[in-house]
Amino acid sequence: MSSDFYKQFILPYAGIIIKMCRAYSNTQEDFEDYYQEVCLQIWRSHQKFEERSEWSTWVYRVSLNVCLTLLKKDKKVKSTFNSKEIPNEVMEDIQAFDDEDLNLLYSAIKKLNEVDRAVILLYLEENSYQEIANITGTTSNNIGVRINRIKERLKKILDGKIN
Amino acid sequence: MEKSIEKIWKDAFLNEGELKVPAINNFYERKSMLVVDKLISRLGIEFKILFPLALMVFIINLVMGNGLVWSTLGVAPFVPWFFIAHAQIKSMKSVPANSNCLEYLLNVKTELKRIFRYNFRATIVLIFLTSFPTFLYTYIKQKGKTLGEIFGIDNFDANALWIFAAIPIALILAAILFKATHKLTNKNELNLYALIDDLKTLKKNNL
Repeated sequence: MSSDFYKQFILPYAGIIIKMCRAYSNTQEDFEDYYQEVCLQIWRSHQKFEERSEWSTWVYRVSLNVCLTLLKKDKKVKSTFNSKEIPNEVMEDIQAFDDEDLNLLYSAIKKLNEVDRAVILLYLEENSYQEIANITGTTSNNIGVRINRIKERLKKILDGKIN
Repeated sequence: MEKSIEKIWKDAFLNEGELKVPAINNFYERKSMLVVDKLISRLGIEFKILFPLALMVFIINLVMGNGLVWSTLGVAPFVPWFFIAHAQIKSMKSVPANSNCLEYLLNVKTELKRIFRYNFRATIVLIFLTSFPTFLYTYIKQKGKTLGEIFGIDNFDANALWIFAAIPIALILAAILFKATHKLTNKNELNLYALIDDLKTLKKNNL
């Protein structure tokens, strides 16, 4: 591993990592933990990267896996600690950016299930259906159908919020 | 909804360079802990391998017709090794972590090299200590028989004294196997060295 592994192999993809971690974490503290864990896991697993796919695809895949794993762990901790639903203020604790529309979109995305969240993030990042299918381990046909359904759902959530 | 989700997304991230990247706190410290944890768990596996190895020596003794008492005695040299291996894991865990990351990893590296050298010598000594009395006892007990008769191989009329030739062969084979196995399974060690190189470079560049 070169000394500037982080700068060379992680930082150029920090954007998608940040966006993905935002979509799965509920507090600023969680978000930072998720980000660190993703970076650590990318470093940890980079030797397994076999150049069968693009490095960016690998980064997406690792980020998604880490986020899902952490989310499951968090759920376990929360369900042991308190079985009640997480209060809204906690869900809204993490503000994405100054953009109000974007924050609304993020809170709508957080209402989707784990896989749908990943699919829509990858779609918004302009990945092709095939790339999304490769990352999430499904078929491109399934992705096409899924994206339409997710967009409709998001539209409903956002319309509801705006109205 | 006035804007499509695509437009909201695109407008918000027009300038991705302005994204605030969270600080990576203790990135190298966490990586170091990870590498050292793996090294310790590897030592743990080697420790567990001693159990089937001891069982193998016990069975070989039984097959050679050395009886239950002698077979048990043949396993005796493994007993101190269990404690030594246990102590080695403990010593790795107790490398002071309050020094800075680079110093900690250098200390781990020194400790690891010391353990490797010790284990290499101990393996050779242990094989000698296990095999010499076994063969000596076999030779005395089966005096007058040929090697073929001792091991139940037809038409193998070599003098029973040749049984001792197995000792240097076993020692050479053990040394080769030990080093080869280490070379094949030292991925975690290589990670440690890479991490040390990284930290040295960072220190040199004042990063």
